[in-house]
Amino acid sequence: MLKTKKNQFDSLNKDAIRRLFANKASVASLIVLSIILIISVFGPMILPNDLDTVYWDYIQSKPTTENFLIFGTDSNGRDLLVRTLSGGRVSISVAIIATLVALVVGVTYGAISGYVGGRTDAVMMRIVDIIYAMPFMFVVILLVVVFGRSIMMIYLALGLVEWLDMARIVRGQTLSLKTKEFIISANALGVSNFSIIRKHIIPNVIGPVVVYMTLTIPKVILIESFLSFLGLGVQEPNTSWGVLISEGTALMEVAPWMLIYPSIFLVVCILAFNFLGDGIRDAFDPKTR
Amino acid sequence: MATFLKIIFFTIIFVMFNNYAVASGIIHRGNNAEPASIDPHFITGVWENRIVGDMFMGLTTESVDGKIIPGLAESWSISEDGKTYIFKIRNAKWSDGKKITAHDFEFSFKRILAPKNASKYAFILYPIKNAEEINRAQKDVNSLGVKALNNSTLKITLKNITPFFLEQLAHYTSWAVPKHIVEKYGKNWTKKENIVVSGAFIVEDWKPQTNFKLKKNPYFWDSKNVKLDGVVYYPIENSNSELKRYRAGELHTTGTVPSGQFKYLKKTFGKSFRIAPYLAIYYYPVNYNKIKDIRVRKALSMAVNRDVITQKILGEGQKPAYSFVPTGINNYDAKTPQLPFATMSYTDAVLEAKKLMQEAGYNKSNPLEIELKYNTSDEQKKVAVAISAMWKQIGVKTKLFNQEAKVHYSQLKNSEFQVARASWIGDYNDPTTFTNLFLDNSYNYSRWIDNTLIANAEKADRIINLEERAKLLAKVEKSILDSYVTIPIYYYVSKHIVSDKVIGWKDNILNIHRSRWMDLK
Amino acid sequence: MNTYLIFIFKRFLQSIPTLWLVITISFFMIRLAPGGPFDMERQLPPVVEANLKAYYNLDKNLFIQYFDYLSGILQGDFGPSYNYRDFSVADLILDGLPYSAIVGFWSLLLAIFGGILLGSISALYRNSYVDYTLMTFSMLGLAIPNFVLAPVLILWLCVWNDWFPAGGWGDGGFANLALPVITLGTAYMGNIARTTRGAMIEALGANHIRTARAKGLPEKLVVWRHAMKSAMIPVVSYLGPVSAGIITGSLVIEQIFGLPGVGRYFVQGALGRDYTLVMGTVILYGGLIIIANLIVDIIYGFLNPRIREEK
Repeated sequence: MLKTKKNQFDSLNKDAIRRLFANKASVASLIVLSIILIISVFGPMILPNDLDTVYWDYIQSKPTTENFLIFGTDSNGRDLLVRTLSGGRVSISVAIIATLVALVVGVTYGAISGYVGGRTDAVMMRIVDIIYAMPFMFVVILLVVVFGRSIMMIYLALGLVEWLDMARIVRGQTLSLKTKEFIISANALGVSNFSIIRKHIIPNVIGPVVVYMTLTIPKVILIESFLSFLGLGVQEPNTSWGVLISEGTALMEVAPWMLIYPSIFLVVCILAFNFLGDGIRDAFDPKTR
Repeated sequence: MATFLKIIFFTIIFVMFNNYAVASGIIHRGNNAEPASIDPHFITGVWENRIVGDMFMGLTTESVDGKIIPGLAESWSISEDGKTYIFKIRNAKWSDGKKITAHDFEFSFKRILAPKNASKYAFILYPIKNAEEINRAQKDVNSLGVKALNNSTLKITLKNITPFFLEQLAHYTSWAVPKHIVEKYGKNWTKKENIVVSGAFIVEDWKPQTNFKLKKNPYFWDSKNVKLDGVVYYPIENSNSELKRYRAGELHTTGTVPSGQFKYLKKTFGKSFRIAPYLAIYYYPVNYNKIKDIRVRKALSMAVNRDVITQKILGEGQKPAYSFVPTGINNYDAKTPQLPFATMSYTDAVLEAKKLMQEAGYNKSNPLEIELKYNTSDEQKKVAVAISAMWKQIGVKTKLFNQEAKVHYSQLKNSEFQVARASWIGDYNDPTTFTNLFLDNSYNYSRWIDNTLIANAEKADRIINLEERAKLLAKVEKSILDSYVTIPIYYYVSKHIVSDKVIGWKDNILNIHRSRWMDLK
Repeated sequence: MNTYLIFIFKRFLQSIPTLWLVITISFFMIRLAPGGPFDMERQLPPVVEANLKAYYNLDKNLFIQYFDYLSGILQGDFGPSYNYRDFSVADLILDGLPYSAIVGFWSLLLAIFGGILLGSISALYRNSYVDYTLMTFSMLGLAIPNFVLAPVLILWLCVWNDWFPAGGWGDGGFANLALPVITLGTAYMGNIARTTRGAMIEALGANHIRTARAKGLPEKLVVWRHAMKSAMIPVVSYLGPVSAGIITGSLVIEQIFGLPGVGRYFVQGALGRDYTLVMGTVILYGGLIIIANLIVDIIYGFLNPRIREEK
């Protein structure tokens, strides 16, 4: 019986992956994201300028081919191309790690809470309520105090704030799943709670969770930029798309390249994550077969 | 027919008068933050000074070009030893018709110094006899050296001769508050329905975070020379948003100007873009206990390319600072001490700096690691990034550390830094407002205590002859510069956009522009 | 039905200790952050700082301060603001809340109606050209940060063209609120559109929809009555906490458009270490979240009767 189940699972996966690659938007997004990822990781290594190389004669100057300043320079005379790519490294890694933290903690927490129900659910959700009821700025500042001003802090801070949403959504889905026939029969058959959560609840909440994850990644990128705007983000000379965009907005009439290039990267990246997430959801959704 | 003509006639008259009223109009001024208070004894910022300064006045006040002129005092005499001042209070009224008397002033000085009121700026008045002791709750408030001899005569006794005292009396800490109103309403005396003022304007309406409306005060002693009918201040925090509102025609003047757009602003606004020297310095204190080698401190200072910073990084007319006290300040010699490398070319200075660093044991392969702290702001960041690039040449690896304002200032106060960014706006037009930062007090961020300097400063406080005093203060400044515990970088400029419809805005070093002198074309 | 009302009432009672815990934790935690309310660029001499601390009772034992604060709140006194000397915390929050709430309300409406509309249409025409265009459009509102969109809109519509005032509340009419509401609303519209689309697609494939279709009900009815109900669950989950955030305003919107409101106090209070103001915002926000949660639970009950029965 186990063997057949495994085969079923395998063929389900293969089927889903095939469907994912048939979706043109997902494929396009995957390609775009891979390109952005590759040039962000390798670009700064092969480009001639460092992210803190200063060109004193090219301060806040528009794009030019001299010195390979093809995106222009910022107000300190630094190459915007290298900085945009380096910023990509930071923005994307912050988003992915924070989302993974939120995913692991949130899904587990929400599934258990929703499935077990009763008092446990009440207490667990009460804890979520307490943390949720504290204003974001306040929580972030406390995390800064505890973890210091490292980039680690930003990953953790954002992950620790986002898991709450994930838990709530998963709990909501679990609550409605719980009332469905197949769960009730599994229970009646004597399958353990843990097994039910692992084999039936979690795969079935994947749909909205994946959708929510792709909403979270851009959200985290934007929150990180808001934090940078307030001075709580990455320290110089490191940068992120958020930092670049904040600087660029202030100067958009005199140095539009400072706003345009990082914004294009940010927006394209966010759109790509979203279309990809849609594709994944469509591909794995058992109900759309 | 006759009725018809009458109607036309009166309509014309009506319109004429309305136009006349509109022509003297209401000015709309950008202000950069919301006032936390409008009680003169509790305000702290430039943005509050603007609003409250249109409503209250001191014994002296500022003219249209920032010079000190008689305010509520019409004349005064100073004793031979310079420690006793007698003021004759002019014949003026509060906005409720009651006479302004010397008792109001005595009451006001006592109020701001009373420890239970916890006024943040009370320390400005410490030159007055017993002021500091009273503020420390060591002496009773009635021992203060401020006495009303009668309704129109006020006697002030100082601890030492204080050449800038008349200017200090124009500062908001010395403004008179109405004794009868404050005693009657206590904390609520500044509410719109209770407040009573001595200045050209009075509160008409205050909508927090939206605007602050002032209307003309007919009881003001000089109201016949006040041309405007009212003033509206807008607390706009974002300088780009403020500029956009100016361009949309909603403001006559701005409180500041966004940075990094100098060329564009000059081109777009021409003469309306007002830049003027400002009595303030931007500097990097070096922690004496963390960087003990004077060669390193000197090298750090020499490697800063002040010309590039003022012209290319900031480019708004700021002046490079090679001394600590700004040139042109009152009561000081025109030829003030300067850092010895001021006349060197930058390339030579860098070579010399490299040599010093090598002597101290640092070079590119064995760099000195320095943590540079600054508070969150685009401008601070630009300067810090530029300077860290400049220091790279001489074998310094800089770690940049930006923090929120409160944390930064707290660390400055507790000397928790190696090198940090700081700035100081002069409280009054005298060198001591800058040299006092190096006495044994909480402003001495570097924690460098030099007893000779302190002795000289104390001696200077007691000298009557102004020239001798200036020479002593020059010695004090030279000690500061010779120690290299501070890296002066540039002197500020004040920057505003002022519509050409505005008359009566004259650039001045204190950057004070009272609405009482203004008019609209 | 009675058991359901009792359930709601029980939840309400449970939220009182929640709020108390939030207040207590926040009270002590904010004082852990480095820097204090009186640290300024212009350093204060120690004697002045001591006077200030005494004035605000900050020199008393921390637990005494805590109990003083609690008894204060119970009497409606939320303390003076440390940074805004002329105002009490209650003054600041009560003055600013209506403005934030008005902008928040209209933004929420725009986000909800726009989002549900776009999401439903996309779900119906799934994977078509229409789907991609509508989703991209709604996503752009999400992807472009507020602090970029706002100045761009102001530049285009207020400075280059004189169509809207460049800032300020004015008389609170359409002209002054249109741009802030659009900026704020479009940021949330994208999320709602996507969530609606995703949930609608699932709901449209679900059993009871097939049953309804099989029964021969007209397509429109199928969609709007049955699918919508199930699809709304994740949307409501999303909206619950988000509405508290929208109602309490956005610092960025208020700063860039120059609007009064309480959004700025959340940031300024924390960054300025204005302890009482921070506590005020914590209580306001906490209270709104609790109310939002209760409303979400009530709506869940209507949308899925089986949950109601279980309780």
